[in-house]
Amino acid sequence: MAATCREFRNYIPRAILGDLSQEEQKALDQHLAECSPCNREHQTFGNTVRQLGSGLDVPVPRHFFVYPEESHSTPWRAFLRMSRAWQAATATVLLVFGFASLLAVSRLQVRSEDGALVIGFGRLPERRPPAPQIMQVDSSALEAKILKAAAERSRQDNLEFLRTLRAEMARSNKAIGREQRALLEQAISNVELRMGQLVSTTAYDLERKTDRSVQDAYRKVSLERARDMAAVDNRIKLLAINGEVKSTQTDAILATLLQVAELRMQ
Amino acid sequence: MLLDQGLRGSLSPDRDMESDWVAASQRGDNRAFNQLVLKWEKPIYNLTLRMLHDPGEAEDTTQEVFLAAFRNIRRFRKDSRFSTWLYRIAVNHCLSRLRRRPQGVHLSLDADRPEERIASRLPLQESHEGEILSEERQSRVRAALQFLQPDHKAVLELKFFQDLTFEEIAAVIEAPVSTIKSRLYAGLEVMRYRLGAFESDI
Repeated sequence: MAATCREFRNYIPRAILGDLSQEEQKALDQHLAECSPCNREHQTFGNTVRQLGSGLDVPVPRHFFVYPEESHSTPWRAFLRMSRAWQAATATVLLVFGFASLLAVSRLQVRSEDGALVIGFGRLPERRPPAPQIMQVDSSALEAKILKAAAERSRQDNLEFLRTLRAEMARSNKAIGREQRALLEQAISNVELRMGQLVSTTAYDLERKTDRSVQDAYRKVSLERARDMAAVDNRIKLLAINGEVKSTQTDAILATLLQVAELRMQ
Repeated sequence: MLLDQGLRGSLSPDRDMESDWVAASQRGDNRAFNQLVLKWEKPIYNLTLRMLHDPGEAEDTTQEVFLAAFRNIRRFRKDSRFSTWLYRIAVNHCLSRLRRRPQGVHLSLDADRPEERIASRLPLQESHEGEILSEERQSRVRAALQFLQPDHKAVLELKFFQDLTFEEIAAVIEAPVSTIKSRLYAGLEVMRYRLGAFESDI
């Protein structure tokens, strides 16, 4: 095969697919007219391509429709498509998560405490009702103390005043007559009398004030009692919230309380 | 007629409808997508049949191709043709199946037997006079195709059976036109030795 033939042989498939420039095509046509082996080769290639291109498509054995349920991948299908290792890993994670959330839900407690909602997992710290601070008031001692202080103060004031008055009288004693002296004595006794009255009024007032403070103390104590009762109430309510089991406990507690109350009444 | 000019989506009103179907499919309408299936199932099935040379595998692969196309239709961009995109999916499915096959299966001595199965499954109205001769020739062509490397076979399939231009094939295969041409001529050389001896009986 001549060198030119080898070159033209490369042209042949390109010529058949129309991939030659005009010059190349012209040169090939010229060569094919002169060279019968190359011409035969050209025909063979043409034959081959005609056979390739003549293929009629066979009909489809069935339709290849796509249905929505196939197209949508469910999580379960995605799981099935995973490799064994991934399936195991996913299952473990899901199990642990599910168990943890079950635990959390079963031990979750919600309650209101001092007007705010408190959410806790597991056992909440016991809420202790504040220890009742009962004020021990010894009212009679207080009263005596107050009266004593008041009396002391009045007596001292009184004595002071009288001492001043008597000193004044001693100084002016020489200048006044007998009648004047009698009048002064009278005035002093009047003053003494009024002072006595004043002291007794003060004592009375003090007594009343003491009464009031004692009453206040009692009121305070009773207020504390009421708060304690409310705390106990809250606790009972909480027990009721915490479920059936606890409600029976509450019933038992109530029954005991009632029995105690009845015993007291007798 | 050198190349089959069958249903190829070359008519413009047809293409308009196709773009409507594509748009509807992208909104999740599987009935619109099935219109596309109806239009393209024959070329795609025949492509997989010639690429894989096994009717059962071709059937499975065709279904896989359409399912993959429907699942990924949102990713299809309108700047290329739907057919180019679909051919790419089909060719990639076939190539990955061929790669998974044990080496040398496509050269097996039983290569012709699947063809007999196809012939027996052909509907009667298709087997009118002349078709039997043609069927024999096609069987020969399909057998010869199995001697090609998968990459070369894909290019020959798109060029001679799907009637695509070099540029379109380059878009499907995602390779430069020069690569496509060199694969085509290499493949054609093999086919010339397998088929050139037979006289064309068209």
